[in-house]
Amino acid sequence: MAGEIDKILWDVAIVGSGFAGALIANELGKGRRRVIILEAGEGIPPNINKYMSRFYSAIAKVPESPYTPEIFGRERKLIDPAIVAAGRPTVVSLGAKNWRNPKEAYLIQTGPRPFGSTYDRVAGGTSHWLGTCLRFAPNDFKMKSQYGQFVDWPIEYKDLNVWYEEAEKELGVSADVDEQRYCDIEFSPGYNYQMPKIPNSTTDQYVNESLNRDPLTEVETGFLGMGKPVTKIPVRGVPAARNSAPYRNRRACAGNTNCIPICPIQAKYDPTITLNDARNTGSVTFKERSVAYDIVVGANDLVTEIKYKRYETETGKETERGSIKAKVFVIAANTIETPRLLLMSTNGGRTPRGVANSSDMVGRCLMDHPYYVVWGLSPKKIYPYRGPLITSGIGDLCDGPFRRERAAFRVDIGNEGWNLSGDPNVTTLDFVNGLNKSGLNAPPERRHTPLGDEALFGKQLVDKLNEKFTRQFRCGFLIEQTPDRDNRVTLSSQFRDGLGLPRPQISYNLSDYTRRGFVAAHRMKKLLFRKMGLDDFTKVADDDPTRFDEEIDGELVRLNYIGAGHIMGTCRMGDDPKQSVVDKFQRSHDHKNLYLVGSSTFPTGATANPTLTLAALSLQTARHILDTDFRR
Amino acid sequence: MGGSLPNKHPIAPNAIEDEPAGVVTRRTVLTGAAAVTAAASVGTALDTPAGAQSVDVNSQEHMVLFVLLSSALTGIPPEKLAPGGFKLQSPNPPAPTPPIDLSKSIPGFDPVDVKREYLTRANEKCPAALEYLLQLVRKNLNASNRDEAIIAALQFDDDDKTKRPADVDAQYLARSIVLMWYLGAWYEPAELKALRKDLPTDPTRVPKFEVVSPKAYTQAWALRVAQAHPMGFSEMQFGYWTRPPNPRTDFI
Amino acid sequence: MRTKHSLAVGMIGIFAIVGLLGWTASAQAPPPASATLACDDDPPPDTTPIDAALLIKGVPCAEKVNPGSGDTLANLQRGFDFYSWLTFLALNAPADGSRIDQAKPNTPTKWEHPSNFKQLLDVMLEDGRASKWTDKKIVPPECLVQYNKLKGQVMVIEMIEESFNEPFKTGPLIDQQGNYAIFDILMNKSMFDYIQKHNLQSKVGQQSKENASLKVDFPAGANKGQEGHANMPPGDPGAVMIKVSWKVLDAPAERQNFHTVDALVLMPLDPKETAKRPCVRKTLGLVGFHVGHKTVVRRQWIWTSFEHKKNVPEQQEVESKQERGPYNFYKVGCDPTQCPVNHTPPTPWDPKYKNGLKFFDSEFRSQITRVVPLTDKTKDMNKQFQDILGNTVWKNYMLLSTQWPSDFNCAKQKDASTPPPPEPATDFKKEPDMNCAPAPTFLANSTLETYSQGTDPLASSSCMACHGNAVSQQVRPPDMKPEGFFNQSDFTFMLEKAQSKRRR
Repeated sequence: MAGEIDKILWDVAIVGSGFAGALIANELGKGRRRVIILEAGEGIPPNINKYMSRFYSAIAKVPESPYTPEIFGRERKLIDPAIVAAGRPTVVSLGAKNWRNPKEAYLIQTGPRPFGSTYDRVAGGTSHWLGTCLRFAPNDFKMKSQYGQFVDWPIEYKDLNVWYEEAEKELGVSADVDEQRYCDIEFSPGYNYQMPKIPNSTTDQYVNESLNRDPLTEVETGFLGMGKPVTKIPVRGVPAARNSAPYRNRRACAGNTNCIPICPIQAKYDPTITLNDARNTGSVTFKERSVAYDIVVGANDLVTEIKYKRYETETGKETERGSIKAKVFVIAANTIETPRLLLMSTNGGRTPRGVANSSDMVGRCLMDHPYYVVWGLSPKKIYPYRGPLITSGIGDLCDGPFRRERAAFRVDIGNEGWNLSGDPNVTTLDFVNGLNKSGLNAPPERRHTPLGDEALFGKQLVDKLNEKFTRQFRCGFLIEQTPDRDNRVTLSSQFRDGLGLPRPQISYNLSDYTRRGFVAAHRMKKLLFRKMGLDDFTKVADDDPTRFDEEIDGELVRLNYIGAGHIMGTCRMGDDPKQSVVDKFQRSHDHKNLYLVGSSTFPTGATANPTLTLAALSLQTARHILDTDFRR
Repeated sequence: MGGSLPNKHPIAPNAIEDEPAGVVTRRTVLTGAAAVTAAASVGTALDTPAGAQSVDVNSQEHMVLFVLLSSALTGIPPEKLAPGGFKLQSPNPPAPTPPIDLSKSIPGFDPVDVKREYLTRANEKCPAALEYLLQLVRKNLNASNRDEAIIAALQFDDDDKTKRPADVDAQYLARSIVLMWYLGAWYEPAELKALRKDLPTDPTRVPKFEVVSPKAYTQAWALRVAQAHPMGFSEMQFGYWTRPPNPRTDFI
Repeated sequence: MRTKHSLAVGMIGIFAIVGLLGWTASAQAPPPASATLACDDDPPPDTTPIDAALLIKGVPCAEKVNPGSGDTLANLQRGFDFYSWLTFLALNAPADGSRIDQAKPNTPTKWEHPSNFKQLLDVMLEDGRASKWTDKKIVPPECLVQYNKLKGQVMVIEMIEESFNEPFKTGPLIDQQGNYAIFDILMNKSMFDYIQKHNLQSKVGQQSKENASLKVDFPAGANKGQEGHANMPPGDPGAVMIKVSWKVLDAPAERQNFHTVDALVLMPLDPKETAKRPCVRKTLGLVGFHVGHKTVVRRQWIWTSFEHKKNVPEQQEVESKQERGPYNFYKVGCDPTQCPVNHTPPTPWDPKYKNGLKFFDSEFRSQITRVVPLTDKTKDMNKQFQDILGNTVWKNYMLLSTQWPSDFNCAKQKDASTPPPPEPATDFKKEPDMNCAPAPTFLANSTLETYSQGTDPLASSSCMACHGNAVSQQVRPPDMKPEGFFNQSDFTFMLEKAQSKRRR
């Protein structure tokens, strides 16, 4: 069967069917180009029944939990990535004991700090996304010229505006355009988002009331370094690809509070929708369980073919090999798998540093949004665990003169209480079995003792759980990360996957600039907690591998982070082929018929979720391919 | 629904649903009586205090006891745990006053029927402790403070020397049952006991559990008690989250 | 004296029969036969007998429900299933008033008559304009010539995406002759009147300021003697909506086993095409039949689903090699590697003008099984009803099940300190379960929810769980507080289809 697709000279071959791959395939398909998509993971099932039952049954409801490949094998042990054909990192292999254990962790992490983000290899790889569709702010594209930091993008906000609109239309975004005008973000005259904004939650309302009840003073907000007095910090709705009205045959949100990892009613857009549209054009062929492993470069530095391996079962071996020939090639395999593929392709020594890598930048400047999560208990009931996971946030602090000195941040307001740390299971178990993992089952002076004071039954249990759950609060800070040459993806020389391919090796650290961003975020947290009257339950374990301590306002504070799932930077775009991998249309400087797409091309990471921006860039690239590579 | 319809006919249309036993033709009363007699003979056998009866998950009486037990332990009313007409019957209708006749009581018939999964699981894993617990309910069946009595028998310290192993097993199974109802997950009683022993010296120990079934997860009470819903399973309408929730009594 | 013994809540369905009999302009109900019903006996039998008298007696006695003994749920289910059968028979009874147990395959039914039901696209018109129930059928220009030649004695189906692609674009269904199955949606006058009254037939109308505070609440039917829904006369059946699936019957021999219609089918618009949209004349056979009926005691509607009995085998029959073909959407003996079961067809799914209603891949056939079997009780009831339908095609149809809201008290708020829910009590502020515990939890028609069959919570097909998510196109004006805005569309997706622009 591999034989059939190998015999055709395709117009375009795309590796990866996630956001970027699906969007580009759809545009090319509509433009009547013959497209083949190679997808390393499983195909898309006719319904999400199995995903949902897998999710409901999962003991760890991590972002990967509904999807394949399976995470756990027999006796609840993590499956060794060495036998998985197309594996991926998971949250459960990011603990203190196993983040550097190659028998449990797919990524070979050399540190010094853990890289905390994960991805999937099916259903778009980020079907588990939250749905947030924030645009970058204009200054995000100009860090060098504005703030003397990092580099400028080869494009500006105004270049991308029309593509943001196209991406928003394709995804279907719910937001109020007036509310989204901040940090110089502007819209075309008369532009409206596709659907009305998602209503804010009772938790959002409390945050806003508390923070902005009285005008804020310079003493309170001076630390932000905004360059002007900050008397109000608005809590704004977050634009989301989540239906608030009928749109393109999908249902409106019913507040399942499960966006990550999967919306049970597909009210949240995910790339399988565009992938299905792409396949429906009649011009796009999709091949699952096909792992690209070698990009072959021929005469004139043009890519001539991509070799791939196939497998039948998740932990099975390679079953066949093939090779795709096309006129144009697009690698959309995500920010870790794309450079992995490029680096693996040495063409018998002709491309010793890998394909598209004359700049030596492939794999470098790996970025995430280190995500600083804080926890509190509110004095009054705010009714979390209701609505989408996040409906509002604080974006106004994402830009300002302070960026000369320290990283910017955005604030996510969680609607899911303490779910990220295991609730409702943890607190329920505490009060039924007399434990104190949550810290709620003992007075503050014994907050960290492992055994709790009460083991309850009956009405007392009901009252206690109601009283606790309804007051739980958490928020997160997405902090801009420095694009650092030494934060990079390389190939492990020692560890391979089930198909015999070298696994990605990661080195990762946080810069001083980013850590100063954490300091500011912590100060913001203190302001917020004071205004909301929250009892602080933030706790950093002694052996948390992401832990670092900073002296802030006279006290030594333990900080930590998790990955936001926003992986960026390893094939950065730029005008200078010596300093970048692709140009502003995401075409490789080295190979004129090769495009590298997705958030791997971001030269800087800013603070906004990357999906909408990568979607906009993908649509621009698709148009570019149609207009230049296939000019009629 | 039932209350809003006028009772114009001698046999009111709504009567059937509001009072499950209210089928009122002479013939059906006779049929019903026959059923009572048939069940009563089984019922009397169960009343023997000897206690060593194995639990039958298909027995309506055992299910009624299990629901009463679960309600006492979880603090959630039995009609919520067992929707679809749960009813305790005494021999003299209309008001259920002691003594309760288990053989005529109705465990409730609802389409989801998660109570059956929980009773089955508890019986498979800890049959002896389950019998102990059902016997505890039976002993207190007609007490005016039934729930409190059941709870009092199961709340004691780990180091209470007056308690026998059977008491301790029952206490921990009781907790496992509560966790099933609250989380849709099965925590072995032995695991619960071990956690209390291990955590002081190994605070990073992770509890072992398994989800009973996807259905059980979606019927979990922990977040309903908080006027919300299990994550990933909302049966509510767009925009509900922008309003404070309905009163707690709508949920429990 | 007639004794009404026990009344299933589906009693409303009985009045659906009466109501429809009364409406048909041309119908003259035959004088009631003198047959008495067994339920008039004293003492009455245990259950309502299912015999031919049911078909002609004006108001038959309802199924005895008897929830007090044994399995209450099963008893009530039986009551609803009985009601579903009577509804099916009432809607499919001949429009000319003759007996259904003497009908021919192509005898037009009551629901096909324009005085009883209208197709969705005849209500949600281009430009969203208002219309009257008595307006004549708007025939697409591409079909006009054929329509006039047939003097209007033909069904016209103007296809849109939902006419061939199952809900939420889950995929088309291809029969054993390589033809698309076709789907259509209709509403009765109660629904139509409500839509027109509130200007919901257009997108602009739904989005208007006047409608911002409307809580969509279709009229609910009530028995005579029951307190009716606001402004509705008791005895009016209330809102009824229908979704049907058709199979193309090219071979005359096939037409003896289905209820058939002569139809003009306008192909769905293909924006890439320059050619004119083909309007093809086809004989269609009924293979699937959904009814949604709103009643005062079941404000979350009652959901009925029927199928042709030879659509698909049950999964368990296949596993035990007991399937007995031929089937409409399954090939006996085809190996799963050749005929993967319950898989969607290969892409592209959209019909092509040049192929008409034939799928582009002429080899492909959908291989479908029923994942959740019918209960034995339903099968028994099906047999009994099929037996009274004489030698007509109607004995080839079977009930799958009825989904109904089983939590009778779920609309009530019990906390005295809060005011009662605003009228309507349908589903606007109900927590935690606005669907009121649907029984059974899952229900799927093999032709209409082909690819989402199963028992996985929320993911697998359930009429009420899915329809409960339906919202309108209403918009909250800036001066209305978010907590006061409701856009539930009362369990129907029809309002989504209101337009403002030209469709062509």
